This record gives sequence, structure tokens and C-alpha cells, in this order.
Amino acid sequence: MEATTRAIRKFVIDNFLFGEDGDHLADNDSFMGRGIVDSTGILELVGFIQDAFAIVIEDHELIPQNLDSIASVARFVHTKKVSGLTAAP
Amino acid sequence: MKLIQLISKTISRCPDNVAVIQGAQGWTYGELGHQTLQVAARLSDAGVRMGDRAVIWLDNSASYIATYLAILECGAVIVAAHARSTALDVLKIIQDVEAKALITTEAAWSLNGEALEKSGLRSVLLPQETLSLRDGMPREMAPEELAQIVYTSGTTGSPKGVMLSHDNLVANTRSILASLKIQASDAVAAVLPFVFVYGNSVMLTHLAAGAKIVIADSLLYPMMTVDSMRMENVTGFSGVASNYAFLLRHTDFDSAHLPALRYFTSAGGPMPAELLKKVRGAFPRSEFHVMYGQTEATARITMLPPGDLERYSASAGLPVAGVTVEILRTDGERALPRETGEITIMGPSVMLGYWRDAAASAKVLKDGRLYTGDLGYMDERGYLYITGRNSEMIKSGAFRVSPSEIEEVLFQHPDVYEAGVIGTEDELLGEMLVAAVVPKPDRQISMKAVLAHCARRLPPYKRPKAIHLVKELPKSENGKVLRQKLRGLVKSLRENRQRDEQLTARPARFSPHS
Repeated sequence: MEATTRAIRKFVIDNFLFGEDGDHLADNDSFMGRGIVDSTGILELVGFIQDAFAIVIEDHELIPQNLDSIASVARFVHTKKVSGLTAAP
Repeated sequence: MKLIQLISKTISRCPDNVAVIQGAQGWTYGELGHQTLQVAARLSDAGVRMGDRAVIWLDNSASYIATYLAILECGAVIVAAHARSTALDVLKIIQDVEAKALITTEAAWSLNGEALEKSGLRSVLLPQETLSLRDGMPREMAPEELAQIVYTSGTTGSPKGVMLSHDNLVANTRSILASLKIQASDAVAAVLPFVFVYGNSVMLTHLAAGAKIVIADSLLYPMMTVDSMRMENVTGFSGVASNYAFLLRHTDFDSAHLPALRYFTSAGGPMPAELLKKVRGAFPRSEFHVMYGQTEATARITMLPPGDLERYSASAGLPVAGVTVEILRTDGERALPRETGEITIMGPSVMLGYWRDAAASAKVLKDGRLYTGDLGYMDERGYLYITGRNSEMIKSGAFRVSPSEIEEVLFQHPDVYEAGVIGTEDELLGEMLVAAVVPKPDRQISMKAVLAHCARRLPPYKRPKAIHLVKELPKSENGKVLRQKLRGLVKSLRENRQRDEQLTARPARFSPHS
């Protein structure tokens, strides 16, 4: 999960903070609370997660518990990948 | 009548009605009134007196509403900053209005306190703190006096403070109440920021009716918004075109899932016909009200009755109660039916003027009327048609953004020689901010560096979504950026970039609008 967290952090810093202030962003910091993303930003994040981790995110999964921090995204990706493996024949 | 009296009447009339729902929490009108008095007591202790300005820097929330009412209760003037504004923007507002107090969250203060302390503010209130109960403040303010200052992007760069009186706000609230027939049994989803007049109008009309406000702050998580609308049996929804496009695309936004929805309103820019058709298809039994308004007119100017949607589909509708609309020719004479001219309005909702900007006020307030800067005509039956906007404002999502304001920020970058900002067509946002930047001679500059520069100085909604590095900007003989030509330049640059990407078979970056 560490590699996942690192990849997500890099995406968020590169795309929403444009490479700056990364040291001040903790894994549990709320994107919403810090004003880091807007509604189109969330969709960019979703696009990145789908491409980078080869998972499909449903509309009902667009909730802050899954997407509002680096840590929550990493947990969500981990859960999706595990459930995908379990579901595979 | 003063605005607080209008709301106080509701609190007395229906104290047990639910006023606000925020997540799993709810407040009745009685509780909202109680909380209002608590915050008012805190403001009074902090030295806020009649006529003082108090700045609210909060998200849409029950705290926002209680604080808004508390400032009115003190006879002070409300000034709201968007929750996503940068500390620098809030600081500018605080200094511009010489605010006596700032009301914000602990989180915002801990992130930005150092910058804001420079403002010389007398007091900062954090709504979560336990408050002590006290009696209400005296209410001696005259209705024609200033109640609220709403900052709106001006075409010349810095945002202007639009001064609205108690009379302005009460008049607009009453005319909307009459048009939409909002009752105490109604419930509205509040997705629009309360800090701007459209959201402010949604908040005040529902408070005045004793209806329920369901806080659905932003559409960051659209399914949650629709879930809360379903759970709370929301009957009304007010949004800009991009809100509707977003909900239709990402949620079950239809009458089967939201059977209680009886009315919609749309303002803040044109509602594309195709989008309107889709919403009406999804909610065949609900009423859709197309509106036209302006901050300087305390929100609404005209409204197209739902029954006229087919017959007058291109129209912005008829003036709302109490507002007179007249089209004036360039020679100042009244235009004939179907003759295009500048849209001017008269009535009790016309602003007092711009805060400490007599010159700008005098330009738009003349002979007892507001010159909107928009162009249009009226037909023989009095229906208004908007044909163009004089201003260069970009309408992106729920926001009006001044290209000059963003250009000024870009100019502050040490390697930027000049910059031009335009809005390009965007399916979800209506318009998307795009900047063309000319680097200084012999300087290297990256798009990423420019975006980082903007991210430090601008809230997300004001940041360009794309930057193009160009050798020069198209300009007129007197040096003014020709935005129409810049649009063409940006379009060809984008097409070239897309072609290059296809040729090099680079994987396309995820597009949220694809």
C-alpha cells in the first residue's frame, strides 16, 4: 500500500498543488477542508485512479470516505483491488 | 422593513419547523433563533456595533446562516467571503471594508491566522466555540440602510463590493416568494454558495417562508447530494447550468429517484436548450423557472414562467414583481419593441452603489436606474430577450470571473511578460478559464510553474485550467487584448496539441468532460 500512497501523493501534488507545498500535505488532510480540489478536480482524481490502478469507480463510490484524502484514496484502491481479486474466478 | 424582522417573524410563527439540515444534524427555527442570539451576543462582546462590517468566511452551513442573521441582529453589515477564497483575498476584503470581526472556522484560522493577523482585525470568532446566551440587540437601523456587501468580480480587475440595503434584500425575497410560491412545507437543496446573490436569495426566500434548507455544499460528491435530497424530500432545486449537467451525468437525477421535486430555477447565465430539454425529460411533472439577474439588482430581474417555456423558449422572461425593465438606445431614448439596446432596471432591488467607489457607482446608477451592461430587447408583450453582454466576465460553473483579475495575478509572475485570459466552451462548466502567457524575453517558463503561481494566489474556481505559452497576444492598435482573436488562437493551439498527441500516440490525459 506504500507504493499506492506514494503514487497518489505524487498525482495530487503534481496536479493540484503543482509540485509545491507537498511537505505540508499530510496523508490524512482533507482535500475538501484544505480547498485542494473542486468538483472537476475530483473527476480528474477519479480518472487517474482508474488509469493508474486499473479499477473502475462507480458513481455511487464518489464519496468523501473514498476520495477526500491521500490515505482514504489509498485505502479505497486497496479495497477495490482486493475485492476484484476475490471476485475473480 | 428590515431583513431581520422578516426572518424573526418566521422564527416566531413556526419555531418547530425544521430550518436547516446539514448531514445527520438538523435545527428547527426555534433553535436557529437561539443560536442567532448566541452569536449576536458574541459579536457584541467583540465590539461589533451598528453599521460595523463583519466578514463571514464559512462554507454553506447552519453556522453560516446563524452568523448571517446574528450580524443583522446587531445592526451590522454582512460581508461574506467564499469559503474557498485564499487568505490573501479575504485579507483584501477585510481591509477594504475595515471589518470589525471575522467569523471563520478553527481550521481556516490555523492555516491562515498569520496572514490574517496583519489585517488589524479586532476580533475573530470561531462558530464551534461554546457561546453564552444573551438577549437580542436593539434594532434601530433604518430599512434603507446598508445590510450586506456582496463582492463581485468587476470587469476592471479587483472585485467590487455591491452594497445592498435591507429594502433591497426584502424586496427581492418577497418577489421570489411570490413567483415560486414557496411554502413552509417546501425543502430546498442549497448547492449554490450563500456568499453570492443567487445562493443568498435561495437562503433568504426559504427562511422567510419557514421552509427547510438542506445543505448540499458544492457538488463535489454528487451522489451524496442526490441521496440527501431524496432523504429530505427536497421539493426545490436552484442551480446554474453546469450544476444540472453535472447531476444528469453522474447521478440518478430524475423524478423516479426524486419524486418530491416540484420546481427548479436556473440563473447565472444561459441555460442551453438541449440541457433544459434533458432536465424536463427527467422531471416531466416539475416546473422549471428560467431566471435572469445581476448582483447589482439583488439577484433576480426577470423570470420566465414555466408555462411559457415552449412558446418563449429564447426569452429570459418577464420582470419579477416590483422591477421595471426598460431597454435604452445609445442616445438614451427608450427602444421600440424588438429593438436592441442596453437593459436597464428600476425598482426597490437596485443596489445602493459600490462600496467606496463613487466613480464606478455613477457609471451604472443614473437617473434612478441601473444600467446592467447587458444588451437585449423586449417584445410587444414585455418578454425580455438577452442578445449579448457588454462585460467580458467569464461564467464558469456558479462563478463569475473577471479575466482582468486573473491576468493581474499572472503578471505578478517574475517571468511573465504579458497574459490574456479567456473562457472557452466547456460542457460541464459552461466556460472554462484558459490563459495565454507570453514569457519575458530570454526567460524560460513552464506551464507547471505558472499553474503553481496561480494555485498559491487564487481559489480553485479562479485558476486557469489550461495555460498556453505564446510568442505574442493579439491586440488592438491601442494595445488592448482582442479576446475574440485570442479565442481563435487558443483554439488552434489546442487543436495542434491534440494532433501532436495523436501523432506521437501518447496516451490522452483523462478528461473529466470526455
